[in-house]
Amino acid sequence: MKHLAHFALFFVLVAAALSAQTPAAKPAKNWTPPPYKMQVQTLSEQIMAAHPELISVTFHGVPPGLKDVYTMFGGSYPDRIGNPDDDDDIMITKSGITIIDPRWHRPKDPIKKFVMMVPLRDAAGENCGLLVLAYHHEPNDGKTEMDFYTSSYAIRDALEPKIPNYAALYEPAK
Amino acid sequence: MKSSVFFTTLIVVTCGALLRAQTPAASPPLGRAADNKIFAQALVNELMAKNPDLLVVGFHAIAPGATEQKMIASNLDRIGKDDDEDDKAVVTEGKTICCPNAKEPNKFEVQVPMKDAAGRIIGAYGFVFQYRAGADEVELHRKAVVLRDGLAKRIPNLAALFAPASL
Repeated sequence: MKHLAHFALFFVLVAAALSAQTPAAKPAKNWTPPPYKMQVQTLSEQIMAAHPELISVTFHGVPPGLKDVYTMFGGSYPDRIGNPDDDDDIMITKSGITIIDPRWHRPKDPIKKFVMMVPLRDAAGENCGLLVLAYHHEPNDGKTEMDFYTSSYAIRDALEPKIPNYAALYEPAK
Repeated sequence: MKSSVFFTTLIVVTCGALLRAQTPAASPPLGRAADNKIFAQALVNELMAKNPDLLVVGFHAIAPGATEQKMIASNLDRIGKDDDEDDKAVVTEGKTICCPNAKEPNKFEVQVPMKDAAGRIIGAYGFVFQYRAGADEVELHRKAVVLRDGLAKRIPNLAALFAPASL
């Protein structure tokens, strides 16, 4: 009986050690980008260079030629390209709404941030996807959600003339 | 003849019973704004009177003692309507949602967290503004925040919204 208890304890400890070593499962990709650098990455780099107040920028939508494959197709986290969109991302791409997310009660965020999710628009002013902008934000930095809203629309509007059409975002970087 | 009447009656009664069994329980009828004699409704009426660019106002919250978030006051006769997921996300995650209306392009809705005088999030507002394509969406958001912050000063806590009021 004592041996059995020792064996059970050993088994539990080994299982615990194994589970501690296993990395959290990564989300399955729903899209693979082309092998070349896309124009969207150039735009992403330009935005990040011009706006040090940003933590990240990401572009979301359905790649040309596909149907209902909502994915992150560009941005400052290249390793996340091809990650499937969440429901709220899809809702924005489909209906052109804007979501202002103060990241309320998100203790797991490694950096305090404020997230703006705005419809991406092309040069014709048509909605063509989703632009997500994450800003540095400390509770007492004096910034209001109006500040983030205004800033995000300014960044989005400045992008419009650089997007002759949605497919151009997927073309080789110029 | 007698048996024909009997069988017809039997079929009608049986079909009726089957239909009733298959039909989900009907939701209770939604309340009328005019009958909603609480402080929240008085605030809605005041907002509508003072802001001609507002087309629809909805107050959303979980009433004290209740478990589900619903429409607690509105200028529409939809009092007691169950809230959608987006209404709930405004309260639980503090999100603001700015939403053009695809079917009615003259409308633009801003859903913002409802706050009390202490700044606590206690519910959600849905403000539907008059809109024309190309109008400044940021300005509509600003208006919603101004309305929200003005109301907060008059709401000491969630329970106060349900205090009796004469309309």
